[in-house]
Amino acid sequence: MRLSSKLLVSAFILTLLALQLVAIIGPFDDWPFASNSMFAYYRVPGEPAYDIAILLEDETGQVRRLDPVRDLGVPSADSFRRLVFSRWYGSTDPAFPQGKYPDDSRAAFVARLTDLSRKIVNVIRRRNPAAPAITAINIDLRTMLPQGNGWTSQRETPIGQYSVASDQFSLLTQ
Amino acid sequence: MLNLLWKRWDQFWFSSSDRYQYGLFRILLVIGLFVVAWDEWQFGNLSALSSAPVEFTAPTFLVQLLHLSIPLSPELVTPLRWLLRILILTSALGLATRFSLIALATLNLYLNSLINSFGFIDHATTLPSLTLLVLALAPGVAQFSLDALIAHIRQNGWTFPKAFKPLAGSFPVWPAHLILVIMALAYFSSGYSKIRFGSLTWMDGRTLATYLGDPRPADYFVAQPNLDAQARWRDGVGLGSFVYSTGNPTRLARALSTSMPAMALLSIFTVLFEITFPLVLIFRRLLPIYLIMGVFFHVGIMLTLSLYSFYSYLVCYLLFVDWKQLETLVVRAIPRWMRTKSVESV
Repeated sequence: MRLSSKLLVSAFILTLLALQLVAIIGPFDDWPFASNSMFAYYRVPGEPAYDIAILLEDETGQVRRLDPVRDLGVPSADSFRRLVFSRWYGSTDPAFPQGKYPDDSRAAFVARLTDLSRKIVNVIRRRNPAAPAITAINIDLRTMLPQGNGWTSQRETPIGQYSVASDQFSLLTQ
Repeated sequence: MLNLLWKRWDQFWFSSSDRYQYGLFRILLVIGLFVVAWDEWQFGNLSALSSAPVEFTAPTFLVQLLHLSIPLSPELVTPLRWLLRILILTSALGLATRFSLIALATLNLYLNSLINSFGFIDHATTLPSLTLLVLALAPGVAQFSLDALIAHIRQNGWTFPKAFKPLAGSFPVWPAHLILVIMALAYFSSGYSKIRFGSLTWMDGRTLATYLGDPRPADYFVAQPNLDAQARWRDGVGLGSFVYSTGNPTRLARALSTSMPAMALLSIFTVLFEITFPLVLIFRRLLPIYLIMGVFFHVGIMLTLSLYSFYSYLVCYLLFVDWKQLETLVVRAIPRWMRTKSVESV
């Protein structure tokens, strides 16, 4: 190989490896450079898992759970679950590979959930203008316990409520 | 000092060997990834990406860097899918091989970047996609191709198959070594993450037992352990991560999950295998051992979780099979077998 070809290939090698190392050290879970942190958080059998329930209240007074695929047109409910957590809810771990909020505060959290709620309302309105208008969004945390072949909800903790009229998310947790 | 470093670098990446059959690996990788995994990699469901709202996207680094537009434009879905099919065919057959492979690797990076821009990162497609990109630029990748056959016939007349030797030739090792380094980093990062986020206690087997025993689906979140009360201000719990998808645990998995010693052993094996994988870069004799352990690791996941997506890593292993030695063994074995047959018939 000629020296110029070797230098070109070396630059290619170094670029790929540098991007991969940044993903590992970051850590960042991106594609195709990922920190591969699947299943890394410690868990104990029998301990609860948690569900973030997004509930829609419309002008007729009906309350129902958001179905992200049907209501918003996202490719899958699982990707939406991860997206909501990474981009808006935020992990308590400042090193969480799919979204970092090291200096998070109540004000920043409220701003993010206001943004999420506003986006949900806008997309639903755009996709289905004839449907009853959404008036509020409630976000609850449900404590889920494994029982037999399913999960049972043990407790519901309201995180907060978004009012479409005031365009503001109010935190209910202390 | 710089001279010595360059010499080492040059030796590691740019020496030549007849060990790596990039042409044969091209066929195996393209067929293994695209033909087998068309649905698994969601290429069959591209239209779902075109109707997704732009508000609910998480553009990957490449999408942001190259200013790619998400979601995919609806009128592009069918032409892109056909282009992908054509490039898969020409890359596997080896027709305009270099161009086809570079185009296929680029299109795959583009489509997978879009697919992974909605919150879900498909880790099973990262290593194979980078492998395809490296292979597209590898010398000798047009071996075992229609291009090579046509060139052979033009030069020597119709002497196929007698004089056509698709496994001949010696090529620079940098593509194989780069793929191996990326593979080693992928495994290492996975093991390192378990220690980083789960600490050494991850190896006590409880995390694995929980994942195997979870009812399905388990589309929930987990609390970050040992968090002080102040840090739980969002919800009183302190969510650390989401629960990852683990396919559908089989009866074998459910049975294994009740045995804590078995879970602990499997957890220790997993972390040690992943974290020490980079040793193969220093001690090359370890590579076959690690690849065999890798086969057990991935096949074990398939058998216990019915989770097949990481078969794509096994396809990447095929680059490191010594095909010339295998060819010699097969050629030697055939006459012996025929001789045995003829003796039996007498």
